Amino acid sequence: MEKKNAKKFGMVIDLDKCTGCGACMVACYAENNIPFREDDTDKMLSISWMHVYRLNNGKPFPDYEECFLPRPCQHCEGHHGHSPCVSVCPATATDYDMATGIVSQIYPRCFGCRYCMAACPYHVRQFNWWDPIWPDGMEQMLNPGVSVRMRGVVEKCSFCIQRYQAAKDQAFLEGRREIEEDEYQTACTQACPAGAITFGDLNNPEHAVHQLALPDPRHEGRSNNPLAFRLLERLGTNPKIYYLSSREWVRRAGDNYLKAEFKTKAHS
Amino acid sequence: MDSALIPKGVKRCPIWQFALWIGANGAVLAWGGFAMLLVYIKGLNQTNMNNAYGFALWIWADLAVIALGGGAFFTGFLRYIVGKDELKSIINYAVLIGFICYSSALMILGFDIGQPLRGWFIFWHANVHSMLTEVAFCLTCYFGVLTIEYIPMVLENRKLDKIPFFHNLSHNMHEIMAVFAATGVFSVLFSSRIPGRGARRSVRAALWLPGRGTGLALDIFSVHLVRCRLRTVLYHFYYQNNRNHHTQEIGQRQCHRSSGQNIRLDDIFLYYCQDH
Repeated sequence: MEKKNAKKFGMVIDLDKCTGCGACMVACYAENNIPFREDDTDKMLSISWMHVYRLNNGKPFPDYEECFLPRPCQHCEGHHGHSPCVSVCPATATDYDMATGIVSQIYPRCFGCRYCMAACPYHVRQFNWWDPIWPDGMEQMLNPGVSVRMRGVVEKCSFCIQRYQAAKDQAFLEGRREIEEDEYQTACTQACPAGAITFGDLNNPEHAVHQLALPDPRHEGRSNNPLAFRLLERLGTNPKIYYLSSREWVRRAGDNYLKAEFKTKAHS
Repeated sequence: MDSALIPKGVKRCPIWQFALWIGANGAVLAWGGFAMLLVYIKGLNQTNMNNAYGFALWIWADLAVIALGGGAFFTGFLRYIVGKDELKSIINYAVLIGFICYSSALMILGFDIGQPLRGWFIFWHANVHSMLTEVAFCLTCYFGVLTIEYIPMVLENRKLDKIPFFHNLSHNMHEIMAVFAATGVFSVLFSSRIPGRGARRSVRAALWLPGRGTGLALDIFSVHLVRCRLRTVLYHFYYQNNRNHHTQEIGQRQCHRSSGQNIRLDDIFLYYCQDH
């Protein structure tokens, strides 16, 4: 049950602005102590909470177009918090927080069955096939607010929840109950040089993320912005990452449309 | 010294034959043991699984042996509840097969997880919405019931049977074995119904049909297969050494069979021992 004054943190990513520089990925690695291997070229085995995909319209030059699509955890709400990974986790190691809308991951409780990885339609969950080995001296650079993960557990984007906890602690010390929009921002949002990522509370009409996404609470957060779409929205996962694009083929790439199917909202 | 443990009329095979079979089976077991140690010591990175293919082919084997093991309960149901006496000879084998299958399935699950020492979290922090929780609970329950069912077979050992406590226990357990069979078949038939909704129906059908529909047939087939393999080995020991006696016995049993009496597993065995 959603609590009164509950927040629903979400993200809007403007794909027209994204240049595919990868700064969001680097910031995410640094902020969240994401492990890497000496040879991390096999992307089937590596871990990246924020992954930038490269899309193209499949047409030859000169009609060729491409687009970069950053993909963090979609923090699906599903129906009343029953997101795909939360429903299947046998040990309740992942949870949907009704107070924030964040899908959490409890590393010491995860026993690595990888069922959530099979359930996630976005491939955001990745497995620690090895124990993390940091280069000499790098232990000193790790973020003390984020626990490092051991071999054999699944991990994923947490919307930098440690920053939310720090912001709440700060607000408490200052005698406030609520935090401001800019007090809690994810690392990728702050690192994006193009300003393509907007983060905030989707329930708060004053937040930029709400004004961009225009979520419709009567239709499970479906956007009223004709340029917005969510990935695989028709699965009913009710994700909280909204993408903006002025290009029709990009919006259609977000879901499995049939060729003869209706066009997306912006052109209908 | 061990003559009391060898059935009458059966002789030891040559040492080279014994070593060959033990060696072949031992090699497979050693291979599995080595793989298990690798996974435990070095982790699941040894399996060639990756983030895109997070499950390996052994899950297929895992589900297959669960389906096969389900036949134990259905056989028990038909034998003890429905009263199909024809299954009298196969029930012990069915229980044994079920025991091996469910213990194997649990063992496979045990080394298929990234943090085996936390495996008990599935019971401690159980998520009732998860089908894997359901599978783990069901497998454990089935394994427990089969263990109880299997205990009398162990206690029937002639040495153990001399101990009064084990003797009384095994004989009394036989009397209430119907309760365990009913418990097993009830849990198998209805466990999926407890939280079953939505996608789980298809999974239930996928497990239920082979498990209950063909489990019995698979059990019979397995016993049949084992007997076939044994036939060539035992032929010399069992038949040739007792030719006259068993020829008479086969003749008598064939008469019984043609007169509509129940076919026993021994009949099948003796049938295979005949010259065709």
